[in-house]
Amino acid sequence: MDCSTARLLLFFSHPDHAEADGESLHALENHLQQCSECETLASTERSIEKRIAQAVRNVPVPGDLHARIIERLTTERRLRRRRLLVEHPRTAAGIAAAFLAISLLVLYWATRTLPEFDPESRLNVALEQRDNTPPIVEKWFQENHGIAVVAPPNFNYALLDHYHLVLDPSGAQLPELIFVSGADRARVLILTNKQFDLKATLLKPAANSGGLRVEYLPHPGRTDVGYVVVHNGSSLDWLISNGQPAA
Amino acid sequence: MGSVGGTASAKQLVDQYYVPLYRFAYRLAGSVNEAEDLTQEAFCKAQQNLSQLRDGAKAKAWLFRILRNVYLHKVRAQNSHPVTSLEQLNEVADRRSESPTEVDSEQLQKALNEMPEGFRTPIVLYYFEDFSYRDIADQMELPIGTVMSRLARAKGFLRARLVLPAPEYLSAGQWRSSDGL
Repeated sequence: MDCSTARLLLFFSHPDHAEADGESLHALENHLQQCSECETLASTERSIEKRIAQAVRNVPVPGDLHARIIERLTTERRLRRRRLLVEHPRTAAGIAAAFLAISLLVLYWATRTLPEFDPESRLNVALEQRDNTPPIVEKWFQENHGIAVVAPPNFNYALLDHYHLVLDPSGAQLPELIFVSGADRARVLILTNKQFDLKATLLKPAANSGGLRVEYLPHPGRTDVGYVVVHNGSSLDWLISNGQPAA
Repeated sequence: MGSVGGTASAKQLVDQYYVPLYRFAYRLAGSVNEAEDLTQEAFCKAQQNLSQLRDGAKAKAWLFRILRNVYLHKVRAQNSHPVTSLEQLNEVADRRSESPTEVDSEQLQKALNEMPEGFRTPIVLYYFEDFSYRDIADQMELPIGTVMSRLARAKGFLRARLVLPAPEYLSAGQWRSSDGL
C-alpha cells in the first residue's frame, strides 16, 4: 500500500468502528508500522476525529425533557380522540357501538349461569336402556327425540349397551346403537331412505382400515330402512342372531 | 428492544431513544428550543404511525428518519439557511496552525449551522456512535458514494471552521446550489 492510499483510507476510517474491509485495514496497519510519516499523520487524524466525535455527541439534555415528551404524547392522544369524534362522528359512533357490544358480550359471558350436570338423570337414562328389545328402543327414540325409528330386528339385543342420537358428518341426525361383547364392539347407525339413497348405499363395498370395518346391512324385510355397522371384528356373527328375530 | 413493532408503546420508544434523538435534533437545528420541539414532534409522529414499525431493531433509525423529515419540513417552510462562502473559509483556514486540544462545542455548532442540511445530517450521523456509511446512505436514501463525498467535504469544512489541521485532499469549498436541501 502506498502513502496516498493509506492516507485516503485513514481519512475514511470511522472514529468508532471499521468501515473498510479486514484486508484493507490489515494493509493499512502494515503500512503505518513501516512509514513513520503516515504513522504520525494517522495518530493526529485519529485524535482529531475522536475529539470532533466527542464534541458532536456532547449535548446536554434538559432534565425534564422526558416528562415533557410523555406529557405531549398524552395530550396528542387525547386530541386525536377528540378530533375523531368531531371530524368522523359515524366512525366514532361505530367504534362506540362495537365497544358496547363487546362489553355486553363479555358481561354476558362472565355472568351467564351454566346448567349443572345431573348424575341422577344420567342414571335414569342408563337404567331405561337396560333390558332392551326393538320396540323399547323405538319407543325411547320416539319419546325422547320425536323420531320414528325402525330398530334392526335380527340383532342380539342382550348385547346392546346403550343408544342415542348422533350427528353424522353429512349433517343428518342418526340414531346410533352400541353393541358390546367382550372385545367385540359395533356401532349401528339407523338410516332411512328419506335421508340417504339406500339402493346406491347397498351397492357400496365394505370399507376396511385400521382394524375397523364399515358395512351396510339392509333391513331383512323393508327397503326404506338400512343399517351401517362400524365394528372391530372380521365377522358380525356375534351380533346377528341367525335370522331369528331378537328377543 | 424486543417488543417494539407489535405491541411497543410510544413510551417505550421515548424511554429508550429520547436522549440520542434530542442530541441529533440539537446538532441539526442548533438551538435548545428547536431541538426540543423537533424531538417532541418526532415522537408524536412515531406514536401516530407506530404500526409502521415492524422491526424493533430498526426503531432508532426509523425515529432518526422521522426527526430529519420533521426538520426538513420546518426548514422548507422557513425557506432559509445560511451559506458560507469560499472566502470566509479561507479566512479561517489560515488560522489552522494552533491545533487546539479540545473542540469548542459552540464553535462546532456554529460550523454545523453553516452547512446545508444535506451535509450536516451525514456528518452528525457519522459522528454519532453507531451509524455506518451504509446506515447514513439508507437514512438519507442516497448512494453510499454520494454520502462519502459529502462527508469528505463536510469534514473539510468542519476542520477549517474549527481551526483543525486537515489533509490536503479535504478541500473545503462553497456549497453548490444543488447541495443539501
